[in-house]
Amino acid sequence: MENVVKIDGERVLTRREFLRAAGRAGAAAIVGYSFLAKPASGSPTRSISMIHWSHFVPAYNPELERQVTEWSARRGVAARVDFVAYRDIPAKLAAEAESRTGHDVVQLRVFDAALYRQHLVPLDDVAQEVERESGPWLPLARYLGFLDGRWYGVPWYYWSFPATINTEHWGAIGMGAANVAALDWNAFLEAAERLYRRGTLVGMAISQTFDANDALYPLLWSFGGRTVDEKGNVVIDSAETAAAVEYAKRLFRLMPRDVLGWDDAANNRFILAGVGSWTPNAPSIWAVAKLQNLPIAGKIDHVPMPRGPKGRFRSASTLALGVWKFSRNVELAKDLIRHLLSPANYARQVEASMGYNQPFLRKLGQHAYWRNEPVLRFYEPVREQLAVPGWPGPAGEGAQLVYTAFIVPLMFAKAVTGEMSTAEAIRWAARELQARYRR
Amino acid sequence: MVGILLGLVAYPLVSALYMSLTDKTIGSPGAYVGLSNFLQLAEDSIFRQTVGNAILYTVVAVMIKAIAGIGLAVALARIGERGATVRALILLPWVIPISITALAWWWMFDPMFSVINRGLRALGVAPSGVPWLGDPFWARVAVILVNVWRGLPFFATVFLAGLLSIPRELYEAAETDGARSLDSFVRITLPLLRPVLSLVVLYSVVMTVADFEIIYILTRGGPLNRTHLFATYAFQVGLEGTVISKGAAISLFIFPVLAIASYFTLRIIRRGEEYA
Repeated sequence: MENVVKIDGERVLTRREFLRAAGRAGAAAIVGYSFLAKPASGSPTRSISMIHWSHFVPAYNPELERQVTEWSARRGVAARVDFVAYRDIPAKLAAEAESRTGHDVVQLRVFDAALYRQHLVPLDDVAQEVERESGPWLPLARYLGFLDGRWYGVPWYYWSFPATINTEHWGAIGMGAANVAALDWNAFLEAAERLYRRGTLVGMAISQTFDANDALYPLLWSFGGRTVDEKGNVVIDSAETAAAVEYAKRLFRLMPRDVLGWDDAANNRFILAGVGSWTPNAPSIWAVAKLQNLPIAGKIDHVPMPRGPKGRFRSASTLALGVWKFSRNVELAKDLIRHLLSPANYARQVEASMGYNQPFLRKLGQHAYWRNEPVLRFYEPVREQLAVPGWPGPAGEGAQLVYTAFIVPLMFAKAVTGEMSTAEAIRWAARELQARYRR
Repeated sequence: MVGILLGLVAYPLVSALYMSLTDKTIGSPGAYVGLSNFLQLAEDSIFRQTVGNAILYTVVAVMIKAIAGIGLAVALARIGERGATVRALILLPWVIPISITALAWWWMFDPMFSVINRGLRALGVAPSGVPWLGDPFWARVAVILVNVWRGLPFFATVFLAGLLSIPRELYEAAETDGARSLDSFVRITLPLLRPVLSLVVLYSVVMTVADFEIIYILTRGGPLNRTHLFATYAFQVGLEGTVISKGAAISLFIFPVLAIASYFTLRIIRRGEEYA
């Protein structure tokens, strides 16, 4: 009998269809592709286009295609979704904003709503409507999308970075996932040393890759360190930052030296190859392993990042939807956003992303998927303090520049490699932060 | 034709120059700020690192390509007509898009699955493997290696054409006078190859200093910014960071390098013409 993927009891895809779609989307994640939906009858007089990244969980793209097709048929308009590799999104957005041509609906990464606000249509009506239906918004949603009293991006979903663990390796040192979830950084260091002796290392990127930001900011925050305060004043030069850096130096000795050159996929391979026992990452490693029926899927679990003296934190990558001012289809674009954020469609998106997509609207977080999937019990709802690199400073150019220049990972890298002392590395980071926030 | 040239060459150059003198961010008009972006770059430690990287990367890669290119061209010339297939195969790295081959190299440098490391381990050369992309020194070696692999066929092919155009009589006369192979190479081959050598070096300096794909795919400028070049840092600041005025200022630093390279190379060519 053929296995069938069901959403809320309704048949959606056969297993074969699901895997075929997953394989297609996996290749698409590297190069991207376009999808065009036309209504069945008559030739549409209007068309709308949307740009979206090629999702890390390959089964998500077909579901988004399906929802856009459904909307296109209902409204009698043609719709195109361009799935673009995540790395290429910044250049695409920049080119469109500069040339004032391009897609009607655009995906906005973390600080894009703030950076491009003068080119975006305020979406107060849409944001308020979806909040009435499924809200309230999480504080993070307001921080990123609600700027100068207007909504310039409607927050859609985020994915966050707990730790992905190999339960077999932890079991070998007598620790279950619940034990790992309860660790503070000091106890984690002791466990990491035992894992190191067994050759099953822990690892997090300390390199110029976005995963490094998402691993190292929570470490910094949990020791009480911050890059900037609420007003954007640089405050990184503190005893708390020094404590975090000193800790990272001790942990680095227990990790593969390659972490200094890791890219965003390296820690995925680290876990999938069965070598690594712990790495900060969203559940895409598990999702890919499960989709490909890899035996390691059954050994993977997710736990919160260890607790520091000042709390337990989790970093998030976020995605909002915006509409360019130059769009000739603003009302249609708003309608498409409402469609994608409707509770029924959102539930299907969560299923298709295998729980990877997390909602900014509280009611949407009540979906049974996360409760029914044991490996996601610590993923959603988020119990740690959720933040984005750049928090608690103002959303905008300074935060974006620091994020894309990897200043915090570089500070850690300079200290752990001995290129600079802890104090020198922090002073270096402070200077770099000041140069980027004072513009 | 003039219109096309102006549109494709002059407009982007003038536009970049103008942008570098403003505080423009993407989508905003920006205001004139004079040399502020350039002054900021002078204080930017990552930019200073980038300048050093670009010089090292260009000098080492071009030098290796030139020396190895001559060696390969001489070897191919000796094979003669029988080497047609070899000559065609050697061109492959140069004709296949670098974005594809760099991905293959990226996989070969992977910390866990590196086929190179597996080979080194099997030979007992490096039992713990080489941290190709995780160590600043080895990351530089890796990106230069890929650049050389990519550019060497072009050097060798052009040098081969230059070698084949040298009259055989000169070598025969030298041999009659008792010159050894090395003497012939130093006193005949190299001087007559100099105009070709200079042009190829100029072309390679231009292409190497402006390299983007190899760095972007293999290291994204890391580790510790040791492999950033002007183009990758300009991309990071201008497009990912959205401060396109500063990105333009960074990219403009390529031009003085190119101007100096052009001046010296043209001077060498002129000297060669005088001797000829």
